[in-house]
Amino acid sequence: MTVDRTDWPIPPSRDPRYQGKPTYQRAARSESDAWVTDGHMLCRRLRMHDGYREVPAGESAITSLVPGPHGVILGATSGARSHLLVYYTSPPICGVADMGVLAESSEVRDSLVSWDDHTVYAGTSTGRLVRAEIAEYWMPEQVQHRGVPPARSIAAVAEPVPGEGICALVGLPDVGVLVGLTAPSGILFTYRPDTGETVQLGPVDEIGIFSRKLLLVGRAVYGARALGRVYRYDAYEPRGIEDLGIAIPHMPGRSYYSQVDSWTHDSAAGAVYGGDKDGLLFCWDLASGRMRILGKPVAAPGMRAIAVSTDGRVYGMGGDAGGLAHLFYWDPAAHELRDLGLPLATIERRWYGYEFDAACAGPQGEIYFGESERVSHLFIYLPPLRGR
Amino acid sequence: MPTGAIYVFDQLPIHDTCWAMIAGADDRVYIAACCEMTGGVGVYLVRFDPRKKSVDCLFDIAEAVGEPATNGRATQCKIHYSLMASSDGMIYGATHLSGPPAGDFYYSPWASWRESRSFIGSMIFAFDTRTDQVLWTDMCYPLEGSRSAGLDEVHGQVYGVGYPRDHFWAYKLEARETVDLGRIGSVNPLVVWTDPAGNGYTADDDGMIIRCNGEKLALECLDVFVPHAPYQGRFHCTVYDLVAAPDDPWTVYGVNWKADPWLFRYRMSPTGPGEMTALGPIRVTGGPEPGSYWNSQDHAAGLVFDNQGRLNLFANSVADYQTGTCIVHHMVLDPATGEQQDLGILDFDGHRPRYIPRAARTRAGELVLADVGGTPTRAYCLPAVEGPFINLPIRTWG
Repeated sequence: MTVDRTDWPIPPSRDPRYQGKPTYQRAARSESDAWVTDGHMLCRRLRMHDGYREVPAGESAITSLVPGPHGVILGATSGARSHLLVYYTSPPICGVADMGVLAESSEVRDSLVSWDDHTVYAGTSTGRLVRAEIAEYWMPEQVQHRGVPPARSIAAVAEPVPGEGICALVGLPDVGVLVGLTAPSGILFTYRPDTGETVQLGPVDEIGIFSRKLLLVGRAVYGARALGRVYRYDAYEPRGIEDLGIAIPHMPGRSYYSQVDSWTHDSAAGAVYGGDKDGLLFCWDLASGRMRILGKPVAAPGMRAIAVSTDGRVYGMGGDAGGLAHLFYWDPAAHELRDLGLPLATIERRWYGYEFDAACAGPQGEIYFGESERVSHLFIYLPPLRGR
Repeated sequence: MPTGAIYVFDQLPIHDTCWAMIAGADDRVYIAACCEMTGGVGVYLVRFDPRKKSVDCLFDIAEAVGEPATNGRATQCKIHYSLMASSDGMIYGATHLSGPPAGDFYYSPWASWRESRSFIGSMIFAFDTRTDQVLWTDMCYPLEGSRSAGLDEVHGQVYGVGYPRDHFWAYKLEARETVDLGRIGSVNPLVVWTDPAGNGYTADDDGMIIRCNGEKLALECLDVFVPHAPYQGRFHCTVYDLVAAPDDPWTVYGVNWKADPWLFRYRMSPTGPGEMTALGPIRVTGGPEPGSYWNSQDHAAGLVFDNQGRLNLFANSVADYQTGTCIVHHMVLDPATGEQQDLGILDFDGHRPRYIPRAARTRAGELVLADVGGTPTRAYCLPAVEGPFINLPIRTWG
């Protein structure tokens, strides 16, 4: 057979339009701009150090992250088994410990509550509320000498809505109540650890469309129902599920799809920052009730993880399932919104971060991101210092 | 060093690399001629006929899979280590990404994700060598390229790894259906191979062997690791090339993808992790000090057994770090003793190949080598060495 094509293009290396042109050279190397270089991205394997096995592949997707007591970060995974993780943020440990299995064949998604120094609650996609009692000697100075203890006990304490999975859970220890949301029906419930009492507060939406997220602000719990309308449940002075008469912003013509993908509360600013499934970043000023769009930081749908650093800057991961995550930030002081690029860590290993489903801020301004793949890591973003 | 022949693909004047090469059941050698550096050009399937001593450009794969190279998307310009032969005379190929859309001179999958110019996905084709017909084509993995792939003849499946997101996938040939089994790493493994029971294998970033149960389509992490030099860590210790042993279908010989490459023998087991044996480093005559290697060039590949039962391989080395000049040492290893011999720098009447990524053997024992580094791209043929006839198994992986 013969090749009948004769109109071969000129290879760029021989094309006189490009020869000796610095712009061509720069353009041909532009992939190097793809990675996060503003600040520093680290990743930690899900083990204390290399004397331990990692959380197995298929069980390591981090889908819940919350600050724990004494500066630790608590996490939960999803997959063939859900593991309870603790990350010791400071020397001499600086490692991830696997405290035990919370549930089999389950997701623990946005459903981890640090209740007190020794108690953690997790809501599972299989519908069970699980309590983990952490061992007495689990604090860093003890772990240094004794090794990492597994949880003293992990047990299901309730099935708040039989037949429903738990898709979001928040805790109010000072009120003595956990508030959760179920899927697929969207039933809000409370659980009182002291009495074991469960109360179903009813479906959050009349046509069954809702965001699978809850947000704790003070003693009130917020969620979003159909058309992105925000509702509130006041756990301190319960008045049922209240419609606030406001909605999260949405793209024109897409209110039907309007759902919170992630959100976080900045108590210092009195604001809620969130992202919707289309990747819009919004700010809800709690004092005025004003909801406004800050922009769409990433050229992709979705915003699956968001957190506020100690200096007020907002960091998050844009991108949807099956895509490539981009780290972005919003600086309220500078009114600057930026896509910072794709997360690529080289410490503790070289690893591209493509999918993230959880975030929380650390005590020193660092941001923790939970990678959510078959093989996952705890990513740590160290934002750059502000210049003078 | 025996004199060999060069076969320049001069009908493809701007095609620039040949990564994939496979010997078919018809005793002809199939080669993917890629065009990575120029936008708007598709990969061609080329065939070397050892009896006629000629090469034949068979067809434009991009056209054949319905993704013509001028359609504005990143091109179907390449087949990496994803050409597979079946024992019944089929050649399967899964395309990879690299080349830019027509008119562009640059493409990055990270920078162009899900946009109009993005690579649409890895396309698989089935070419029947008995009729010279493409029987069917399909997309085997969306949005990404296939870095390596292997054929499971037992279950009628192809296993592969996507690029850049490094997910292991299985494609069912009969059902034309892809199953994504999840991410395995960040360093794309360059071999996905199979055992006689139809299980798929590869190695992750740390060199841990991962097996895909062909029946259940589930990944298992085996507690066995690809060996490397003692002074090194495990990072990047995935497999660069791997060939079946001539005398045992459960045994393979491979080389890792690290600076200072190491050889290994791995006897797979249908029930357990199998047994890994380190065969040590490849030491070329006059090579650099171990540990000083330049990882992007010091690859060893082109593993193939010759008529004497020796494992031939090609150590791609940097001859001059200042200019980046590369040479290839032709090495042979006696599998029984582990003894290595450097046959010298590969040289065809003054032409020195820069990089040999894959090799194949004809039934008569000639070694056919793929070339990377010359435009137009080409293949080489080394004459058979004296020795008893060894019937090699069909290589079903790229």
